[in-house]
Amino acid sequence: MPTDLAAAQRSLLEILDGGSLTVVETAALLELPVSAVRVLAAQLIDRGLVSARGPIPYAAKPRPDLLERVADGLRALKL
Amino acid sequence: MVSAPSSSSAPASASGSQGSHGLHLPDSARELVKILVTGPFGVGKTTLIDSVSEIRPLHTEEQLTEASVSVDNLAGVRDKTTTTVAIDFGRISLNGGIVLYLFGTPGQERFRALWGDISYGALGALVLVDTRRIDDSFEVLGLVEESGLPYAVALNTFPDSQQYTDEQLRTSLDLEPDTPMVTCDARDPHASVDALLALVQHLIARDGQSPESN
Repeated sequence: MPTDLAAAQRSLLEILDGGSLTVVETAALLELPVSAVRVLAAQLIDRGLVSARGPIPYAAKPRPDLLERVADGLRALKL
Repeated sequence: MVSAPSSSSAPASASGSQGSHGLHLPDSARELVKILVTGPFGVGKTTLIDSVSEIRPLHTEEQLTEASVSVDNLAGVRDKTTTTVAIDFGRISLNGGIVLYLFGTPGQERFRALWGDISYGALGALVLVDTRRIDDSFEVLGLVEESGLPYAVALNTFPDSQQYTDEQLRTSLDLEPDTPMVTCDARDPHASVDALLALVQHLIARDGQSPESN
C-alpha cells in the first residue's frame, strides 16, 4: 500500500482487502455517506489502486429471464 | 462496485473471501437486484432481512429534509427539519451471478420523501403485516401503491395473533385479487425465502401479462 494515502483512503483499501463491494456496503462499513465513498473511490481509481464497475443499469422493466433467474436462485437456497 | 487488488504479501483473494469486516461479493457477481422489505414500525423487517442475509446487518443513513411549519413562527415561514433515517439492508448471492439486496424501508408517511429514491430500480416490495395491528399497515400500503412498485404481503404472525381467514385479511387490507398474501415467520430463513419467492413469482406473472417491452 502506498505510504502517502489519507487515512480514509487507506480505510477504503483495507475494507476492500482484495475483494469487491458495492458503494453502499462500503459506506455502511466505513460509516461514511455514500457520496464521500464515491469521492474516495474516484481518487483511488485515478491512482490505479481500485477498479470500479459502473452501476448495472436498471431496466425500466426487468427482463423476464432475469426474474426467472432470481426465482431459481431463491429456490436453490432452500435445498 | 469497487474492487482492489490484494496486497503483494497475501495470496490472491478467493471469491467471497471473508475480510475482517464481512463478506465481499463473489467474483461471479454480475447483476445486482434490489427488493424493498417494508411494513409498519416493529413488524419484523430487520428480522426477516437478517434471517436470509449472508452479510451481518448493515445500515445506510439517509438524510431527509422536510418542510415543517413552526407553530411558534407567527409569520408562517416554513422551517426545514432534517432527520436521519437508518436503512437496514442485507444481501443474498444467488446462482448465476445475481446478487439480491434487501432494503428495509420504513413505511410511515413521514418517510415518504425516501420512497422516490429508494424504490428506483427495485424489482418490487415485500410488505410485512402484523395481523394484531392491521390498521398500522394502511400507511405503508398507500406508499407502496403510490410508488408503483408491485408487491406481495407477508403476514408475520405472533403468539397472540388472532386467527383470521385469508378472505377477511384480504378484505381488511383491501388487496387486489392477484396480490400474493403469505404467512411468514420472519425469523425463519425458509419462510422468508418463500415470501420473497412469492413476490418474484408475482412479478413474473405480471410481466407475462403486458406484452410491451422496456
